[in-house]
Amino acid sequence: MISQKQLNLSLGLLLVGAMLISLLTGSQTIPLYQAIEESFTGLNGVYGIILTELRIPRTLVAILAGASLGLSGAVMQSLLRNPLASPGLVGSASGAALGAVATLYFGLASLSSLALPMGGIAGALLATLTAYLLAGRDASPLTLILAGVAVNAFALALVSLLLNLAPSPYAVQEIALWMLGSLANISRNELLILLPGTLAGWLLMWRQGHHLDLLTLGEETATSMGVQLIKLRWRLFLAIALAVGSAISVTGSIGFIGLVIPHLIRPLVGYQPSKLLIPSALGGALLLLMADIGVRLIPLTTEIKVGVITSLLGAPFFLWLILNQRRREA
Amino acid sequence: MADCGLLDRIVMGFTRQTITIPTHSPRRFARGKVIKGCCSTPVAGINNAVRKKSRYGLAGKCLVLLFLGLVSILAGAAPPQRVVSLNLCSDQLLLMLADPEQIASVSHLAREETSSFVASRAKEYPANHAQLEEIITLQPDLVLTVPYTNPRLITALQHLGFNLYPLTLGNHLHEITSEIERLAIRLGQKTRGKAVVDEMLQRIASETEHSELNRPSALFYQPRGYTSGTNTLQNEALKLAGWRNSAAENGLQGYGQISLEKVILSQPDILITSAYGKLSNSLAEQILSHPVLFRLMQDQPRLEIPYKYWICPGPMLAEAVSLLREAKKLK
Repeated sequence: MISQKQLNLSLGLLLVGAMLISLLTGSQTIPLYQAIEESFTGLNGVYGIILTELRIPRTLVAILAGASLGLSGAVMQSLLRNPLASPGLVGSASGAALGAVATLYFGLASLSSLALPMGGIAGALLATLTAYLLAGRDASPLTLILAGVAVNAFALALVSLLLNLAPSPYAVQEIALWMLGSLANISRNELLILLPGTLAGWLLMWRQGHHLDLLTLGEETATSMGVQLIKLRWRLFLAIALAVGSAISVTGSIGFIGLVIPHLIRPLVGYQPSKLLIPSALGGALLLLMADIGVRLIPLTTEIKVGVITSLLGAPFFLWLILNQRRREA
Repeated sequence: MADCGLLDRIVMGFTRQTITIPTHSPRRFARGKVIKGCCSTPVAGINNAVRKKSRYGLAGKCLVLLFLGLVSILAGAAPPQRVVSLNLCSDQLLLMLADPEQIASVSHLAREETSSFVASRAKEYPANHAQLEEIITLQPDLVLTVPYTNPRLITALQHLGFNLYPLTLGNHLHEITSEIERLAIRLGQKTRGKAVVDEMLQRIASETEHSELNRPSALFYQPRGYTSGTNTLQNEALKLAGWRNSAAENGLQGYGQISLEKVILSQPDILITSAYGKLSNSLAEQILSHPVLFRLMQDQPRLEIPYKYWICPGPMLAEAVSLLREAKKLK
């Protein structure tokens, strides 16, 4: 087994490599050196503009959103002690999309730049809590998934309904974008929208790993060892809502990252939640960035949605998890 | 291939020697009378021609059928008295060319101020929504269709024996003028058609600049990055007004999307937009206010061309051309 430091370092290096590829990938090939030169000298050269206004914001948003999804998945699985818990399956992501749609298409988001992420955060929190309350405490994986299916279906139906009711003639065609997620044409405005909630969410999750470790011993034992369970639960649900809500309100609902990444990382860190968090964030960032590079490399006139790639990778993995679970129960 | 479907049926009738074409003719005429009278001579010839050509496949067949269709039209079907149009593009031409009492109904799209050049006139006529039941109730003696009219609707109308006039909606100036002239003849308004075309050509031809050297580049840039490449109305108008079309130079044919990166690299001298309705909140429209566009074109204004001037082919294209010319003078 590799040490946590090594794991983080190698994931970090991979991420830096992917960042470089991301900066070089687009519908046009640009000379990177010239682009960097132009952006540093403050010239209004086209390559510099492409680099600083399009590719850097897009790369950073992919990293931040991917990290939030991976991290939230890891936290959720540990907190609910449920291998299938993740922002996508529990409904946080579709709740966030619903909140974002409600603020964006009805003019609230144009009043204040805070409205959009606030909508996403509120939607994510509401959906997560609903699924949690529907499933009940200590729910079996199956019950939680069923509650998640209900919340997801309801939220996505409302997204669809709102987009149909929205005054914009373009709204209906954007359903796919909210359901599958996309990083196309993201600007630094979107980066600024996403940043505060993401950082606040991460900060709330900071140093909670130890409590999650204790929680693996069972709720009663954890309580007896000083974990204030209700407070912890609220704190982490809020953190997930902040991080996932602000990410999704910019990118649309991107599936499976929060489910897949913690499962891939867990064997590498010895099944200890506190050690899972940082590598999951790095892994989530890496996966979303790679998926987004893939989307840009596929030679189509219209980009496919990045969620298509993450779901193509994630859905078979989800099936494998279920089969694995069945084998264990049998 | 909707028009071919119609003509196919016409010829099927001929080849079976039963002359079933009267089912397509106006109800007010006695069955068989119109065609027997005017088309009996070409029937045999065309019949043979069709048989011979059949091995040349659909395209050849369609050409023959088109010719046949034109013959039957030119041969003097009487001017229709209850024309129904199903689409904005046919609505506008109909409202410009026909006498008011010839028009039975235009589509509801013709009443929309932002997209229809003749919105106020359209409001004087009953609106339809291109629904079969509506059309039947209207009892038209001619129905104008366009290439994107629902093919199922067209088949149903043919089965019911309605007379259809398919517009081709070409994007080149000569296609636009010949379409206007042909429709005018079919409506029995030849002189009005000629007047409309003459005025349009006069407006466009005036002060045409032929200098190929002094052609700044323009990009028609719409929500979600949609633009118009070669063989589009926007391309034609830009060309006529002395601009280069940046989207066409990027290799785009027809309508499609252009990536922001391509927009930046090709550095058009002006961005042209046409708002469809009022501005609204959507991700599609956000792209028009992407910060990168402001950085790229700091002091270059955007030109808004009302969509009604170039959403459909017609004489209103001259308005778009003159707006584009004025913008070019400022360059």
